[in-house]
Amino acid sequence: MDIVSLLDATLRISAPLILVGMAGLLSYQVGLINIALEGMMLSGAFAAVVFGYEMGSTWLGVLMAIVVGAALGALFALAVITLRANLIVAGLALNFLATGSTAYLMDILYNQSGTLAPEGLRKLPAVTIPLLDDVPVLGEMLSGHSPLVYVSWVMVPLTSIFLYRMVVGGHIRAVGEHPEAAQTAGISVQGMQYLALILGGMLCGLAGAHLSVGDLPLFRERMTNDRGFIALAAVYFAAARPRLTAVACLLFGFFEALQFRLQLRDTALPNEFLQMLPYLMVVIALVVISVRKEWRKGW
Amino acid sequence: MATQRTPLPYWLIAPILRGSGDVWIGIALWIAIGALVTAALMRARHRAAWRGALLGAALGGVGGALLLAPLWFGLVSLLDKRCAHCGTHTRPDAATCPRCGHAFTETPRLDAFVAALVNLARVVMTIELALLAGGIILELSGKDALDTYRVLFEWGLGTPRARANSLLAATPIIFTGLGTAIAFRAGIFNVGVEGSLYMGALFAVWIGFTFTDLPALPLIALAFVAGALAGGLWGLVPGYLKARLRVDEVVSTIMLNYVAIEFTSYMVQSGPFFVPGMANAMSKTIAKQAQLPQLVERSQLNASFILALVTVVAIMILMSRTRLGFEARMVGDNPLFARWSGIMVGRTILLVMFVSGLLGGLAGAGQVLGVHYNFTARFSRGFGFDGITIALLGRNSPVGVLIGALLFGALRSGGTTIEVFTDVPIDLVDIVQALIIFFVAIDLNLDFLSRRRRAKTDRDAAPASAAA
Amino acid sequence: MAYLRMAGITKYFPGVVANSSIDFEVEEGEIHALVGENGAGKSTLMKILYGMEKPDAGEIFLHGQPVTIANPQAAIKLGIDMVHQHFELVPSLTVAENVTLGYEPRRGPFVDRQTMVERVRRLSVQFGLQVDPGARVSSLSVGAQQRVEILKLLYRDARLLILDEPSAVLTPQEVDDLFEVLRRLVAEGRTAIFITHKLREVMAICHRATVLRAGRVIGTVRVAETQPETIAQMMVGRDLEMPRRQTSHAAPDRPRLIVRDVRADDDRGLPALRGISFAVNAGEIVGLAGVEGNGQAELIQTLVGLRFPERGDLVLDGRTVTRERNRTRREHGLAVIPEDRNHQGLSLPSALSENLIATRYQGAPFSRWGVLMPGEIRRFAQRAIRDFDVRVRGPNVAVKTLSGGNAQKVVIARELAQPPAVLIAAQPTRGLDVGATQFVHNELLRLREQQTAILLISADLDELLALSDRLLVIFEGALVGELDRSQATRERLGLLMTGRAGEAAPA
Repeated sequence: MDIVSLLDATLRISAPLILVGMAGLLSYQVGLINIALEGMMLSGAFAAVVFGYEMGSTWLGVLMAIVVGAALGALFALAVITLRANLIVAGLALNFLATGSTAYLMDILYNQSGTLAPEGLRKLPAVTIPLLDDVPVLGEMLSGHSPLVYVSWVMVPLTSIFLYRMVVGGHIRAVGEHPEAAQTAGISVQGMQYLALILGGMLCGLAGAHLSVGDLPLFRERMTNDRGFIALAAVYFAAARPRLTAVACLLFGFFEALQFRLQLRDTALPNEFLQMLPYLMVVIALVVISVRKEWRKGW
Repeated sequence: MATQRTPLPYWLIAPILRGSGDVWIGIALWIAIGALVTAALMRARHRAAWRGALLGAALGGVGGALLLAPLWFGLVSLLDKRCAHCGTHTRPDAATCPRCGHAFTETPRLDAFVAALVNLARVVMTIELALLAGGIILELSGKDALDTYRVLFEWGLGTPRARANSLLAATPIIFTGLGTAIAFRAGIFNVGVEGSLYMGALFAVWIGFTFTDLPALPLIALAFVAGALAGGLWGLVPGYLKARLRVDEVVSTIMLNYVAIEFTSYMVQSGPFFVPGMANAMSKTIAKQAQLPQLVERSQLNASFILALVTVVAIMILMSRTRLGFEARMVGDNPLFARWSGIMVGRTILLVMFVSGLLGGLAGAGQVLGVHYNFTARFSRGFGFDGITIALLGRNSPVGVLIGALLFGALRSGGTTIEVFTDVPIDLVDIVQALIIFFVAIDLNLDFLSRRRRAKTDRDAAPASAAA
Repeated sequence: MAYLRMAGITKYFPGVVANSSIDFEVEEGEIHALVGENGAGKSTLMKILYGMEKPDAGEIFLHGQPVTIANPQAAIKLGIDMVHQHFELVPSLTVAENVTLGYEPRRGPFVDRQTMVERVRRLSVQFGLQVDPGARVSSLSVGAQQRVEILKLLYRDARLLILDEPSAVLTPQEVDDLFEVLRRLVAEGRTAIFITHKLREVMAICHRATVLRAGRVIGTVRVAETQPETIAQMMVGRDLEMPRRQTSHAAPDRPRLIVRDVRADDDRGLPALRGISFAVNAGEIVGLAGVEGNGQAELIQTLVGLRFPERGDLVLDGRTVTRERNRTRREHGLAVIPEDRNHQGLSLPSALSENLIATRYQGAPFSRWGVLMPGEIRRFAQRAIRDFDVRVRGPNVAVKTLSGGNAQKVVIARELAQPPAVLIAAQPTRGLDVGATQFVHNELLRLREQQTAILLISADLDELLALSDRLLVIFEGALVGELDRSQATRERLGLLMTGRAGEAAPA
């Protein structure tokens, strides 16, 4: 097994996870569980392909993916914040809506079903970092990725700065932890929640775009494959700390890359356990947190 | 305190009133109807459907506003209750004045009737709006909405075979709906019935292909029991975490669902149940005698449906007549009071989660024993999540769940055939279902916008947030 | 002219008149105490002043000018700010971040952290409020957190500070520190409204005090010219016919409830009960007097089984029940009328019959083999409705539709359906009208005749004096006095309740 190619694949696979992880992180910080990450990501993937093709430019497609993500984020926010919808059910509904709508539109607009790979749509150009590219091992791993991979890396410190250095970020965190205090301080609780969800939607749209036009330029039904939930697991595991969330996403991406390679050989370690790991890790993390809380209170 | 309410025959006015209920909802409905009708008409004349939709929407909205607003404000003031003490208006099914707290004179039968009507109206409205929205989408995509819906209706409910298939589709979600509903009733937001379903299916199948020497009845019974137990034990995990460690059940059950899915997939894809040479990830087929008898020719409707109906009755009895049901309801209504009265809340949570999981396990067992006769990885088409929706739609009552399940079953079953007989992709049904779920989530509450006119309740803080 | 004048303030809540035509004035540069029992309306009045509630009637004047305070931001702009009883601090943010929340010094969209810390440090020094601006709030002691709250107000330049029960969570030393700060603030021209029911503090630091009772102003006094007992008497008491005294039924050598050296902490981990010992005999009503917040709630929870003591024993009819759960205690004859009728004593959304059997549904005759017996339940409910004169149409009514008095009857019907061995009655007549109150008193006396041991916890001195055979006084988690009926007077009780045990010695 080639370690370098494994790590290279890890970086590629974890990029969308990191982006969605940041999105989930923002929702968590504002006090809402965002189950709809999956749907927003899928819609972004679809939008990137469709608009990229229709408008003749893949980059415009990516832009539209962000717009679509933002729109869905706003819709989710409207349902949950203003219309008081049940958080979980609204999220499930949105996911379902995304799956159905993308498949439906694919059929209506292009008469395709299953996969949509329009002629002439080009994937995003790979980025080669000039000097780094020549470095033997690192160069292979770090250079030559789709641009959105590098964007995902940048998003982590950006999210960190946003939440912890900017005034808005502080307000978001306050709203999530103690809405009454925020309200009395003059902060609009609903405003911050809308903001977090819309920004999250944009990130999800971007992640979806990477999935569809960052790699092989096509859209496949349900291509997100529950990645939204894995990213959510990463957020919960890391208790919404940006850097730790990113590390968790890298870890989960590693599992997925490993699993691909293992599938080609006969090994004792079954794929499914690898796939199970992120979710088990969250449950264990939750237990550990609760046990520690109880310890402090003295049972 | 006395109320003033003109005792008009409510049932005459209610459909009109609640159908165009809240003036905004009413207008939305009229806009939707207008859009649909004119879009269809325009398309029938080979004109652009979307222009028709816009025009129809505008006409519908204006017409609705002009006609409805006066009708609403006039009539509703007759049916709303008005507190004689402080003059506040409130909904006809309110028991106390939300402003000054004085209780209205009780007219329990009429109140119950009104409440039932309001609930029914809400369910009908939700479905109506979703179907209308679906219709608009169809028209705008150039398809024939009426024709599509005709096919949907025919293949959902039109022929005996269609009806049987609808009942077949409803079976698993009756179980999951019940399982979710009892947890909700006890104040536990259990999203994990899907996981219990998989565990139950796995163990039922195992019994089915292992104990092949047993005669039919004991084998089937054993399989169901095994499935139910597996599901119940699986439900105990998040239950224990919540009861003992106060771990939030929403996140834990979501995660555990995936654990169950992966685990059961492992069992057939590379684990002990793996059958070499199979293209799909399928287990061995269960013994012939374990396969549930079919109820109707040319349909896979099987005995598990009967079991589902029996279970509905059993849960009704459980919740209303047993100690556990009483405890579950008290814990759901007021956990603090439950503690002060000596009810063992932790134990109640555990038991409720066990039963909830047990029902999920029955859902899975029913599917493998009655439909597939083996276990295929990831075979559930979201039965667990449908259960959540119909639990909400049915307001956690077993009868409500049954009705909701039958409805969803018809929709699913009719929907699968749409693709065959029309040029409409099946995904439309997914969209309509998603819309129904969405509207249920918003709790298309006929009053939510006009609360401005009525006294405010004090639940006006931030929405239900669930960060750990 | 008064700095602040609230005139004719009235506020309704469902079923309750929280404020009834209240006139309240505060002069500039004073510390004005707002005193009253729980439920007297103090918090509501201040919430109106702070813009968190809108009054149904009345006006507010600042320096003679009418003002409208639509929300807390408007109040803050007018210089009115509040430190709530439950702090409004974001746990994972630092002190400086909390103090400046919503009004952060910025450099563009970014937080100017340096300036933030600087300003907070300067304020902290200026007012003698010691805190580390960079510390995370969750790591601070309660006293320190309160200092942060006050800093918040000062950062927003509050001229009128409202403090809601600030000393409820402080140690005596911290309370003295708080007083220092208040004196300093007032010296430079700010004004403070001090909501409290701790009379000692009123006497120690406030210039004037306004007493509220049941939503009305009873009076305003100058503290320097008034005795604390006078204020205490203004807070409590009603014009009621108290039941006339009857012969003693107590059996002195048959204690049914024994509490031995019980020590327990409250929810924050601070000691709430510091070695309480007493006994209640059969046929005796023991009254427990004390200002709220001195450990009564924790004592009730410990007796009932919802809190386990660190040390000490509880004995119920000879059986040690210190570690037993609530259900077991009830099975051995414990009954309780809880303080919070609507959340601890009843389940509002549930039916009347369900509320009635909630403590005894698990055995015969109400359930057999795990199945409920609806016939028996209905019969029981009907009997209870009849015996206790609950005004309802039928047993299936939802309890939330009942008036206060009726609802309390439901609680009593449930707890007293079978004569208990020991009854703990906490504020049993709070919020009830004359008729309901008399009903409750009669029930208590009836039980007393039947040899039940009753512990009556009440903030109403008249009630305690009329009903109790013996009186105990609790103060800061310890029993500071035990008086026989003949020795108990309002004055003596008042002194004990405010912590002046020395002066309360019987003549």
